[in-house]
This record gives sequence, C-alpha cells and structure tokens, in this order.
Amino acid sequence: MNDIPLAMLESGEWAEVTDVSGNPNIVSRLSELGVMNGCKLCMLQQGQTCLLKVGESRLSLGCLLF
Amino acid sequence: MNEITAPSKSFRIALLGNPNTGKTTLFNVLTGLNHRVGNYPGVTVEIKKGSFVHQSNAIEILDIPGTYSLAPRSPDELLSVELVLGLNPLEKVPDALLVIADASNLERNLYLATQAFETGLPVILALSMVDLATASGVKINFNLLSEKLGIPVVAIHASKRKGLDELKNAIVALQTEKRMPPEPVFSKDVVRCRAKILSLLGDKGSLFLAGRLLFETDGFLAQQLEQKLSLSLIPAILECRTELKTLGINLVSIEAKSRYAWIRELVQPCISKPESKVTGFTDRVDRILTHKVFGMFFFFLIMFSMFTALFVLAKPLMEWIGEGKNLVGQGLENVLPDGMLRSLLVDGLLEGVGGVVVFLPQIVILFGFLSVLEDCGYMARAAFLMDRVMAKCGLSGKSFIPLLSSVACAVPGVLATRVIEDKRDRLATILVAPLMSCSARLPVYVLFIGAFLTEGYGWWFPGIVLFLMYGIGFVTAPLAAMLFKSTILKGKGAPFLMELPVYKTPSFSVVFARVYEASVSFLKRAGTLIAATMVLIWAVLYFPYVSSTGENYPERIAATENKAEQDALLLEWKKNSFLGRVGQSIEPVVKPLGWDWRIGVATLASFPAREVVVGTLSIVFGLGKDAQDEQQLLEILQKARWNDDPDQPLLFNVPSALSLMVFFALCCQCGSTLMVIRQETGTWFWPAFTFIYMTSLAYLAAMLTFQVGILFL
Repeated sequence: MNDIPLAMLESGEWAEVTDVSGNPNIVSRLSELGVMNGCKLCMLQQGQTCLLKVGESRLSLGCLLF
Repeated sequence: MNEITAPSKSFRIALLGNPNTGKTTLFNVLTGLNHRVGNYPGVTVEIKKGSFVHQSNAIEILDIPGTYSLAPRSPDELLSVELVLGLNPLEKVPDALLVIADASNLERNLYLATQAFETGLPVILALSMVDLATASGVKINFNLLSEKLGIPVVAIHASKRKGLDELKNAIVALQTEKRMPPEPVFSKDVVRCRAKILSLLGDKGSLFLAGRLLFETDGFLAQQLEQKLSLSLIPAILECRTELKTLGINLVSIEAKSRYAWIRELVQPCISKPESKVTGFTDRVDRILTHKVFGMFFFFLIMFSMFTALFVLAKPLMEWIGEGKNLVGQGLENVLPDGMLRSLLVDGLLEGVGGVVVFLPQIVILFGFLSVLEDCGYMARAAFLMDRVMAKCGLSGKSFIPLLSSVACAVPGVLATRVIEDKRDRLATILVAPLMSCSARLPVYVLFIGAFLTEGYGWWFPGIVLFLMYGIGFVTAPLAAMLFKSTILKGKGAPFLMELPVYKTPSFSVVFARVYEASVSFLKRAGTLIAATMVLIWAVLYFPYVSSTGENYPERIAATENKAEQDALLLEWKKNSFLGRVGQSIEPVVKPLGWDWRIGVATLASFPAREVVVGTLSIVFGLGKDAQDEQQLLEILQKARWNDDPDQPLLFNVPSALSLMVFFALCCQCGSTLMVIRQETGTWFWPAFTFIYMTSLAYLAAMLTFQVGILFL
C-alpha cells in the first residue's frame, strides 16, 4: 500500500495511519486522542482545516499540520 | 457563592473526565450551587470545589478542568495533576478519584481512566451518555466491566438525576471498603524502568508519576517537579530512556499504544457494537453544519438570530427595570427633603447604578445563548468553520469562541482564552478581545442612534447603523490580531486541534449555572465598582457648590422660579465644579472629535467602566433637572447647544454623534477587563499596553470620523 499525506485523503475516504510525525507535543496529544500508527480514520471534510473521524470521535485539525 | 463549611473529616474526591462528557453537569447536580472557584496563585485554570452530604457523610468534590490525559504540558495542566496526586501544598491528597467517561466513546475516554488507575487512589467510574450509546446500537455490560476492573462502575444521566444515588452510595462505600483499580499492562522493559524511577521517588511517588517522568520526553514535568520532590532524578530518567530507546521502544508513542491496547482487550467482552457502521445523527447534521457553503450560511443565520433576539427579547424587560428605577427615584424624591443627600441618592447612585442594572436582561440572554450553543456542541463547529478565517490573521479557530464571548463581555471572553494552548495566540486573542463591542457599549449606541440617526431616516436605518457599530469590532479585532501576530507576537502557532463533540440537548443545569454566575458577577460589579464611580462623579460635579464669590448655587436655584435663570445657574455651577474645571481644561483635546467639555467629562468619567456614561451624561447634562429616563436624556442631548448658549450651534450633529460612538467602540474603558488581563497574563505590562493602544486607536478613529464626517454630512 502506498503512503499518502493526510491532506491528499478525499472526503469520505478511510485510511490507516502509518506514521505520525512532527512536534512531539502534538504527536503525543494526537496519540492520546487515538491518532497513532495503525489506527483507522475517515476524512469527513477535506480542506485547510479538515474534519476527521477517529474511532467514535470527530477531530478537527488545522492546516498548519501539513 | 456560599462558603463551604464541610467538616474537617469529610471524604475528598477529585472529579476527572474528558471535555464534553457531562462533567460540569454532574458537578452542578451533585453540589447544587454549593460550590466556589478555588484560587491558586500563578495559574489560570478554573478549579471548583463543592460539597454535599449523603447518608450523613460529608463529601467534598474537587473539579479539575476537562482533559484528555493527565500528562501536563503547561503550568495550568500541571496544577490539575498536582491536585490529583496530592503534590500541591494548598490541598490535601484526595481520598479517591471519580472518573466520568462518555459511554458512547468508551475506549477513548478510558485512556484518562487508565492514568487515574496508576495514582494509587481508589477510583470510581461513572459512565455518562449511555442513552447516546444505546441509540447508536452500542450495548455495554456494566456489571462485567465493573467485575473486570474491580472497581464500581455506575451509569448516570446527571441532568435527569438518574444513577446519582447509586453513585453517591458507591462513593460512601469507598470509605469503608477500598477497591483498588487494576494496573494497565506495559511491556516488561517499561515496567522495569518505571519501577526504578518509582523507587527513587520515595513516599511521594506513584506508578503514574514515575510513568510521567519516564514518558515525557520534553522534560517539562521533571523540571517542574524536581524541586518539589527534592530529588535529582534527571540522570536516572535519562538513563532509563536511553535503555528503552536502544531496545527499539518509541517513548513518544509507547504510552498511548500500550494503554489503548490494554483498553481494547478489557472492553471487548463488555461491549457489543453493531456490525455495520450506521451514520449517526451527529454525522448527518455535520454534513450540513460543517459544510463550506451551507455551514457558513447556518453560522451567519445563527449569529443573526442571536443578535436579533438579544434586542427584541431584552427590550420589554429593560423597560420594566427602567420603570422600576424611576418609581424608586420618585419615591425617594417624595420622602427625602431637597438637598445634598437626595441629590446623591437619586442623581448619583440610583441613576448610575440603575442605568447599568438595566442591562441585566441582555447579559442573561447573551450568556444563555452562548451556553446553549456551547453545551449542545455547536460552538466547536463554529470554531471549525472560523479556523480558516482566523488562520488568515495568524490565529486559530480556538480564538473565535473568546472573541464571540467578548460580545457579551470581555471579562469572560479573556477567561475563555484559556482553551488556547499556544501562548502567543492566546495573548494576541486577549489583547484584541476588548475591541469586540460588548454589551456595555450597547447603551451608548442605542442612545445616540436613537437621538441622531433615527428621525428622518428609514425604519431599517437604525438597525444598519447598530450592525455597523458591532462591525467595527468584528473587523478591527482580527486586523489588530494580524498586526500583533506579525510584529510583537511573531511565531508559528500551534496547529488547531479540537474535538467536535456529539450534538446533544443542552443541559439546563449547565446553562442555568453559567447565566447565574454571569448575572451575579455583573450585579456585584454594578453594586461595587460602578456604584463607587457614580458617587465619585456625582461628588466632583456637586462640589464646590459655593462659588469663589460666595454664591451658594443650590440655594439660589431653589430660590428662583425662572426656568432660564435656573438653567444658567446650573451651568455655572457645573462649570465651577471640580470635574467641570478639569473638563474645560481638556476641551482643546476633545474639540477635534467634535465634543465640548461636557462630553469630554462624561467620557473621562467612564474610563473605570463605560456603562456609567449614560448615567454620567444624565448628571452632566441634567443634574438637578429631571433627567430620569432615557427619552428625556435623548431630548436634552438633541437640544443641547455649545456652552448651553441658545445663540450657539447645536452641540451634536451626525458626525459628532458618530465620533462618540466610534470612540466608545474602540476605547478600553473598563477597569475589570484590565484587571482580568493582569490576572491572566501575570504582568501589568499587557493591560497597560491594551489600554494605551486601544485609547490611541479610539481617539484617532473618532477624530477621523468627525473630520471626514463634517466634510460630507
């Protein structure tokens, strides 16, 4: 399977996370919320600020992340 | 709030939970209004303390802010963790922890619980939103969960008061039978390293604290706790970390991975989920409300309805309060003899404080609206929608809620910036929040639009002008933020990361508690700061009441029947008063804005709290006259002439009325806001900065408005 950046995921598509990198603070915050290697997520709204579904939670992520 | 008089032997529990789990509702329902906000130096988190009695057992609850994890990353979060672990000298160690978890998102919510399990304290798990879970087809076997965890698990529905007795019984039972939670499983290497750190911590340590010191690679907690634990732990911690790294363990992710794996294994037999993923209510609604086009449309519709409701609903209530104030005024005038005391009570205190209390209905409605939007889950969507807009001025969607709250009042607006993790973003938001037109500016707008921009214009015109006045804040605040973020507060902000909670019916107790707290603090302010200001202003306008040539103004006014002579004497008296003298000396400064000394004085007097300006105008333009209600004040202002001389032009025209409104829209005339900025930033520099930049901006903008205005109008 090819790895793609999160921003390339289209609305309504599911994907499995293979890597979370960046500021350790944000990486650990995300992991506490369940966003880590191996988790499945769905892009609900694509865009500069995107909306993701992870498990039962909906997370909104700002554009600075990509 | 009532003082808590819990007996010293009371059982102490700390309440923890993720945001949006109904934690506040549970706290309010358990303690009633019998709670207060704890005060801890140097931090800005709201820690609440409350108490209740169940079966003659006194229980004290400590409520820490909603959090996804007990891993502190800021001094504010550190305080919560210290309180839970009993490391704060101001509070005793809690006897137990009560973790509230959202049953509809159990695995994610249990993450925090697994951290609580390692604190060495007994834990009770309360599950909220069971109805939401059931509605989405999730079934939870509570007994099995309780059995597997070895701790009490209670399903609750706080707003419907379901499960509360079971919860209270479980808390009381803990006093005699301590049921300890299980230890979440980590790999044996992690367990070994953690045990090593734990042994160095001595009696203050817990498995959780040892874990924190091991996992937190940025060293924040270790540095913070080094002095408190009076141990030089850092070399040992670094050694353990290096050891784990060489074993191929990633310290940033190992904690979350291990905890989630443990939770999944634990929860699996206790929970049954539907096979097919049903699209829930929240997802269906979100397709519209977070949509780029429709979402924005609904956002503006909601904002528009809120502001319309604010004016339409508040109007009759405000009129009642105004009439009540007039009745009291008339009553006092009938009872008290003419003289200084009557003037102080009626013209000073009643006029000033009454003029402020009139705005209580708007405070109630605005806070009601904002808390409903917050509690039903919409506010997070608004922040999501606004993130793109806010990003353009260097802020994130999280700054939107504080700015919107500032439309009610900048004080809660500044407090609401606590949700912004990034320090520079937070400071920029604090600095610009007072630019948003708050409810205290409304009386100025209403008075001057009513007096100078209503008659002779279409019915729709006043509304448009009012909207534009609010627009000044909505445009200036982001621009100012952009300026600050690109100069003094330069730096890359933290990315926007926010959970969007499921939609739910707002809880009455949460909304009521917020409205109640806001109203009480508003009335307290009216009764203290504003009352004091009004008395002071009245006094500096009343004294000296004898001129340098020995004329006693009040006596001479009482002696004459001639209205014109009375007015002339009154003007002379006001000019001769302390405030009048100051006002005349500053007239050259305010003249470019189209104001005379009386407007200058009223503006100057309203620097402690801008609400007083309407009352001050009544005093300045009508002390001794019967300027008892707004309609009369409006007429007096319309007819006022420069120097009160009938041959001089009218004092107010459209440009000078606009210049006054623009000044009030942009100026920082609020002692409470400056105090709260001091409290939140921990220095006097930022309130001073806010005061200077806003006042200069207001002066320049008002001058521009007037000077350009007289060219065209």
